[in-house]
Amino acid sequence: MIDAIPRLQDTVVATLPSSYEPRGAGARVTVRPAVVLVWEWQNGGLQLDIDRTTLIGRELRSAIYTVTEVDVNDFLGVVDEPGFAATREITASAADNASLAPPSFAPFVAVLGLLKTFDWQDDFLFDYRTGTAMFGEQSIEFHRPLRVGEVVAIAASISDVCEKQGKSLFDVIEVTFEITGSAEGDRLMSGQQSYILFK
Amino acid sequence: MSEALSKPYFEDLEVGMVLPTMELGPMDRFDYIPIALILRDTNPLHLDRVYARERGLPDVVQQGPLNQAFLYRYFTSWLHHPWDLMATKMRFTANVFPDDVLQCGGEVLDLVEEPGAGGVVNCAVWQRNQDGQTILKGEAKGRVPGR
Repeated sequence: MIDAIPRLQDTVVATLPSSYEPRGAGARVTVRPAVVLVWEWQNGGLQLDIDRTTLIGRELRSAIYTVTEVDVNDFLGVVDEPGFAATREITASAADNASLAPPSFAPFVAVLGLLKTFDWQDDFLFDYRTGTAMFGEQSIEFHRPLRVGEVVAIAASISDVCEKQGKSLFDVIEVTFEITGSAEGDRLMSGQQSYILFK
Repeated sequence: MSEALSKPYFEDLEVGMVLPTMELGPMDRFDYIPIALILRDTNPLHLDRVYARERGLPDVVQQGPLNQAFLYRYFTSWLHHPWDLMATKMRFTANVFPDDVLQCGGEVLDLVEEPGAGGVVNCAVWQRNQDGQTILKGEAKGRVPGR
């Protein structure tokens, strides 16, 4: 069990598993994460039980995404959506004439936008290169259609973390997000996205 | 890829009514390239068959948001206007692989009449592969006009 959220430069206190012979099971030692990772690589099986509940409430960095014609056109080339085209037809007087992206593109905006708001290591205490992560549940409320060409902002925070047991132990991190347009109070989408991090 | 769904009117809907199904596919591995570019996700799990097989999978895995997009396409093509969509809640339960054929379906869970004409319909929605394995399940809510 780690007593504090570790950063690479931090020193952490961990309880050792029974396989760590030099100190014995349950011994409390102070180690740097990099040292622990080397030990794990050399011996295998050292599992640090990271307590991610300390992440609840963390505000993630804000991000922006432009709904480009290229992205929507590429998308429409795969998911045939009758009645939608990515070409913008903006007149001088009415930005509302911009063509709409299909609702099926909305999960892409949410996923893409959210991936820009966090760092797996720093915000989720997770090494994406060696660990396994999956999308969990996603819920979205739609406030208005998404337009091709518009710039959207994504604000997100970690709203819940819970540990669950399936075939193996995993953490579910729930991120609450809001996607807004450029005008004040212009809400596009809001909702939750959960990520499953296997331990 | 699929046939058009007949559009519903609020008065014709009942709780428990089954939505028409839609079949999509077969899924094309070459579609995963533009999707990876859109998502800025170059995870080899979606693009490299050898890499996927080394991890015990039969083939590359279709991107989850693409599975979702097909289920969104299904539900919103049933609505009179796609952006009558109000809310969704979906959970991933299995992977999709190249050449899979997806079937989407749903059932009316709840109906709320709105002042004027029409109302809001909340449906259970699902997506299954050709073996009947559930890929995605959840709920979708949209506005439906009256006659």
